[in-house]
Amino acid sequence: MVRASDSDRSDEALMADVAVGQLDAFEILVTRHQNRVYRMALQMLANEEDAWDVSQEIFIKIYHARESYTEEAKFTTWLYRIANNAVIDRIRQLKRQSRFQSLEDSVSEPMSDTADALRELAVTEMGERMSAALMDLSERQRGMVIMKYYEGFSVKEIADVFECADGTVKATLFQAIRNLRDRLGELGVFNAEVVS
Amino acid sequence: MSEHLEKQYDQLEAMRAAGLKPEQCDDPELAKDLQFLYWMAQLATERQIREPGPLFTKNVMGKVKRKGPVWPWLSAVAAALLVAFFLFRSEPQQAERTEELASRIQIDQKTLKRAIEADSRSEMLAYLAGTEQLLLALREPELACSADKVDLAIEKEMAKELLLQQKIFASEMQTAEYSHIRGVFRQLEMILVDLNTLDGCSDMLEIQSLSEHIQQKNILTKLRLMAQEIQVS
Repeated sequence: MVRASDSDRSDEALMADVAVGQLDAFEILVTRHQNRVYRMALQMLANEEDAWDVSQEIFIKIYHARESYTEEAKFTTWLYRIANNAVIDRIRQLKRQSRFQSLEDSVSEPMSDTADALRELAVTEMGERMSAALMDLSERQRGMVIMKYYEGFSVKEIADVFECADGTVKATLFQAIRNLRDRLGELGVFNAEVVS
Repeated sequence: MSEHLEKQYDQLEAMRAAGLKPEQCDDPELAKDLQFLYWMAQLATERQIREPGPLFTKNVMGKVKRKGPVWPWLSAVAAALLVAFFLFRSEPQQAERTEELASRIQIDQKTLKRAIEADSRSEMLAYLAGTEQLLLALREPELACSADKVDLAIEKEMAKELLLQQKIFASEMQTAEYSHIRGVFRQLEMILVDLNTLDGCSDMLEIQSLSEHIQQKNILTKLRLMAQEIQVS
């Protein structure tokens, strides 16, 4: 049974309960983080169905890895590290299945999977193009951009997730922004002219 | 290079945090970057992303809960298969062990049988020797109760003991090995039973009649021959 105070408890305290098999605590964590995890997966995968599936996988992985979690580690860092790896694995899997179209294909032709009603309802054309541009980034750049500019992570948090130095995150992010800007500018999606 | 990128990133973020407009930026490239960040942020806010909602939670919890009871079943099945594997795998070994054990038991049984047989023979020989002494003693009783009665208390006690001794190897006598001498033992048993049922002070004529019966039937000869046969068997 979920106690009234459970919703106020920290992620780390709840995870300690999950580690001993308390499903109520796990349910609170899922409810608390599912939107953010799903959004991140959707931004990276640009497909609702894939995002839904991989997000579920992420939480199931979290549950099965509950005993390996140590309370000293920040829960969100641990969660997004697992999430990022799971999404990257899915991207690689989809690439092997040739599910991803090149950026040119994506923006020059109407969305081929118009039958995917959920997708049509969920994203705008601009969003699709943005997603397609993100797909051209490296997995690392894409993950960092989404975490920073879509999910509001700090540089430090991203560095923890990717297990690298803050400076590496900053440099990677700056390169990613430039790449995106140039790519979308070339395609006429983004007007880079600054009017003085 | 990395430091340069890092520095540019810091500049860009500082401008964004300060809410500077791109046209306020001295560096044209950084101005474009800033404009792009604003555009991307605007796009992110406009973009409607459906939240996964309670159905997502329910699905995850369902999968996690379902995994719970499944694993013990799988574990149980795995354990059962493992046990079956070892059982079947060890069956020949088990059979070998059983056979070895059985052979040991057979050896023990043979030993036991031999011991029993040896013991029985020994008991038989002692029984025959005791019976011979008793039958010889009946020929010439030493103690008299009266003029026509003899004291047979000792012989009577001996007969009783011999009958009890006979019980020890009685089952052994039922085997085929002793079938040909079983009749003699029956005759001896009847004589001993008769002696055991006599009065302590028995009539002299009664004792003489019994001795004649023993003599007529060549009981002592049969007894000695039987003892010899048992001794060499």
